[in-house]
Amino acid sequence: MRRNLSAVFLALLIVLSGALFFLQQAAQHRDQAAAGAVALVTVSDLAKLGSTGLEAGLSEQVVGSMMADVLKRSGREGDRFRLVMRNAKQLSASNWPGEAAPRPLKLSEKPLFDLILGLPLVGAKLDPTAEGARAAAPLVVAEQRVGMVEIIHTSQVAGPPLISLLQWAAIGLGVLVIGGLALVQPKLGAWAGMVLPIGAAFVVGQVTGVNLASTAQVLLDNLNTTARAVDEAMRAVAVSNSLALRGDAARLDTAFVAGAVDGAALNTSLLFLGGLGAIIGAFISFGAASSTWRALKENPTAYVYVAPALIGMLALAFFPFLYGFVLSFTDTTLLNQGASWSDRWVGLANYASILGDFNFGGGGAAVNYQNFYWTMGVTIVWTASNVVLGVAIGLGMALLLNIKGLRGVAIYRTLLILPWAIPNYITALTWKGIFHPQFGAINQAIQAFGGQPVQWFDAVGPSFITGLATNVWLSFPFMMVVALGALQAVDEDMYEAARIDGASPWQQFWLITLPSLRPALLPAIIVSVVWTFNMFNVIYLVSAGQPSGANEILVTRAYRIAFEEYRYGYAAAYSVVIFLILLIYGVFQIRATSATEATNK
Amino acid sequence: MAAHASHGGSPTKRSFLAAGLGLSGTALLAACGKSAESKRPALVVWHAYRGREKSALEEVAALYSAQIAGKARPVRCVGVPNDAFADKLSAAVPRGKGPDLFIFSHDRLGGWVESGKTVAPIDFFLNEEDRQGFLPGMLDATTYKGVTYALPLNFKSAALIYNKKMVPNPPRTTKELVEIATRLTDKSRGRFGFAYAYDDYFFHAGIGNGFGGGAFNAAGDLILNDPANVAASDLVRKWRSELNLLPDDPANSLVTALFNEERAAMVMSGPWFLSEASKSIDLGIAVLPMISEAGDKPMRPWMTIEAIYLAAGTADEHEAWQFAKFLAGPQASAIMAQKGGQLPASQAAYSVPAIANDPIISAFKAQGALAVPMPNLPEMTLVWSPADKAMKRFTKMETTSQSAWNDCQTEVQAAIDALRASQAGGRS
Repeated sequence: MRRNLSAVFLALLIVLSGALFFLQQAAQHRDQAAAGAVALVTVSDLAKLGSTGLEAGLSEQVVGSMMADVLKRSGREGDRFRLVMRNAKQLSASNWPGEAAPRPLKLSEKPLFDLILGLPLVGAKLDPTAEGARAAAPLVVAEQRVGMVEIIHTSQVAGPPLISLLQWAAIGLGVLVIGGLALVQPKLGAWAGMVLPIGAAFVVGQVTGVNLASTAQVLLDNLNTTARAVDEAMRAVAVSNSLALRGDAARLDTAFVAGAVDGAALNTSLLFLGGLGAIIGAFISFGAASSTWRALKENPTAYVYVAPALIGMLALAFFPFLYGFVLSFTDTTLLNQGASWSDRWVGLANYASILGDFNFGGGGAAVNYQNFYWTMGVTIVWTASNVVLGVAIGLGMALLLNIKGLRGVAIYRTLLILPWAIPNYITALTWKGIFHPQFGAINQAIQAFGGQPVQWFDAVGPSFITGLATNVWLSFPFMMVVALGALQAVDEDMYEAARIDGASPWQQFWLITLPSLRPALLPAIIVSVVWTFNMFNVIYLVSAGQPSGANEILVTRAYRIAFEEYRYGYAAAYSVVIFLILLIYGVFQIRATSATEATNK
Repeated sequence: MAAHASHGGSPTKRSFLAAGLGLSGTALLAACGKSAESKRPALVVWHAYRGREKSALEEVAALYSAQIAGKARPVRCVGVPNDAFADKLSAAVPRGKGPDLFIFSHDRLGGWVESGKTVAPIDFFLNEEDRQGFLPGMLDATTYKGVTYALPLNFKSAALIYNKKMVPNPPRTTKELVEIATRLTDKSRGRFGFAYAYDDYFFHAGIGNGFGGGAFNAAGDLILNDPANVAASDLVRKWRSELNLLPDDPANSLVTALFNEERAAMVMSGPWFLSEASKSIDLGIAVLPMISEAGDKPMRPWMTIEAIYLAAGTADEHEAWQFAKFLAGPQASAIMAQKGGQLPASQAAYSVPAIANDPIISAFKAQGALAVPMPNLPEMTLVWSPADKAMKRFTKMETTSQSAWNDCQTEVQAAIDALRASQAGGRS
């Protein structure tokens, strides 16, 4: 009972305080957007007037006083403007109090100068200042941006609240009634902690949506009235200075109001908030919170010991992983890294584009080697062939080294481990040289025996072999060491018994050696599959995916997407797909072989 | 009435989850670095120099710091490993954790401007006299969409490097080049008159630009499959596959090895080659030959220009600018050239007799006058890998130059469109 009550209370507290925060932000944003729109319309008009004036040969001072006149006529003397010219690097006109324009720009005013060429031709809304909304537009003479006018719109606009007090009261009453009912019915009590937060968030979202729809038109009309007043003032000033203005009056459209407060996004945010509240509510009301607390209280030292590792894992493994995962739902690239998450959010589009790419080429056209399924096929063939060869050679070497009475075992073993000990990119570059069509050792050897040199990197097959040879060379020592260790642990008595029973050496190998190696080899193979699947260095350095990217594996492809095409979001989705493939493989492999248990037998 | 410059979006537009993650990410980053609100005791310059270039830069910094002692902050140079430099800049500077200035080549400029908050424009400080102080064309490289962002320091471009013993007179046209190369080449014995990384788009661009092609036209449109580029590619194909003048699979390391073993008489490479070349070879440097097949037009290799940038958000832009101007000025350029072995971009540095009379510097300067700055458009980074792929395809006769470049054009254009679409989506 008490638990249910605290669950409901805490969850609702979270949801309501979060909702208040979001609504306050939304209302503030709406007001700022409205003020910004007024500033933008005003500054666009002033820039239009200014450009026309300058093109007609009026001096900057005259243009400046025309601008002041427009503000005065539209009853907006409180708004402050500054006219900055690029060539002269000067502040040509301003109605800021105590400002003596024209004067050269100060060093601290470099941002105003830099803004001139940074602005789009239609002008731009800028970050709001403490004094009010800010916008700027360039003055254009003969298609060149020669200067700009900046305005700070000081009068504040405050729209109606997104949810009125009365509506709040109704929501509160509803919550009380449902909460009370649930507490009276003990069976429902635990669920109330979960359902109430979601319900409250949903209702708040719906009410906001309705209120937004009903106030949007009012807001728009107000803004358009303001815009029209400025426009009329501008035209009047133009006429009195005998200037002919081009173009129509600036008008705000409904898209602007819709954009000022994104009702759908606000709804999603609120629902997420409700979900969070529900999780916390359920966590408490179903008893998980108290059992966690009990565990913490019983073994405090254990948790203290684990804490550094846990924090390290969170910061170094889970956070980047989660970040990459979230990134995979965006279209983040080099050019839009700075934009907000919501602007970059594309949902599952990256995954759809990766997995839904069935353009394989062929039929006259070249094979499409960039296709995901081609690359995945190559990766699977690559992994399988490497592991099979690596295990076969490693096992063979181990059996040879395990021969009783073999002299110089230590030397052989050291030599055979060497490929593993040398950094693999050095080995990879060496092998690349070995496969050089003219100067490489392999083609020289082929020619020495009278053969034709092979253009190793020109066709899919030979190019694949270059990577395969390199990676087998790199991977067999590991298998050899693992197998050798296991071989030496096999009980000699079993072979003796087998010999007495008349088993052939071949039977001994299949029935004694291999089963004894199983517990050691299986985990090694699993690990080796994962390593080979993601063996970036060998592919990237030896064949580099030649020809035409046909021998690229998934991980090198992801690298190219991220760091050669700069599509970070897409590459993140690619990486998640790689992770999922390996995850599925890992789960099935462990299920199928129960490798982890095998060692305990 | 779209609000074009309002990045960031509204808090309400962010979904709760995304906002939460973004916030925790920012908080984590903020926790990792110190806040840069107050002015640092020194003006920090990031660079990737090592060896003598590093000590030359430090000498310039010390000289400047002594000159302005008491009036402004001293300069502190911080070396950053070359391979991590670009990523470090684009991660640190927009978050206010970066240096006050940094030295980098010009080709990333467009990307930085487009992604914002990385480099500060300098037109406000730059007067006409400053502009005249640089070799012609240098400032174009550090200008993006009409705004200048950095002062050029030095340039690098490929030229013809030859073994004087094997080639007494360097060729002036590709016709002469082919004559000399035919005489000296014995492919079966691994001897070549002329070798260069011809399947590397960077080196090929000299010929492509010479024909009037290139990666982008003046309007910034991709023109990889332009007839001029195809003609340039056909010339290289002829050299390699018809006349058999060039080695197979020419990595830069192979070119260096061939030259050092006196198995290649001439190579196309840049100043960086000089430190790899064997000291026992008497080498000469000449301007790349004119292209007989293109009506004796000169080859126009790509030039990379190293420049000093003002990092966006530096605490005092004017102070930073003053060091940038000093570093790009005559006195510092002369030090960087003489002690750091650089090819200065400053006009005045060439009035120092030791620099003006240096045959290597003069040859590279002459080549530099014909070179074109590598495009600084952000799209350029998307060209490299597909272009190298196309180069390999047609040099190995897998397909014609035309179809290789057609495919490449399609691929790069798609990548550009994807990149641009993301930007448009972010700024609507």
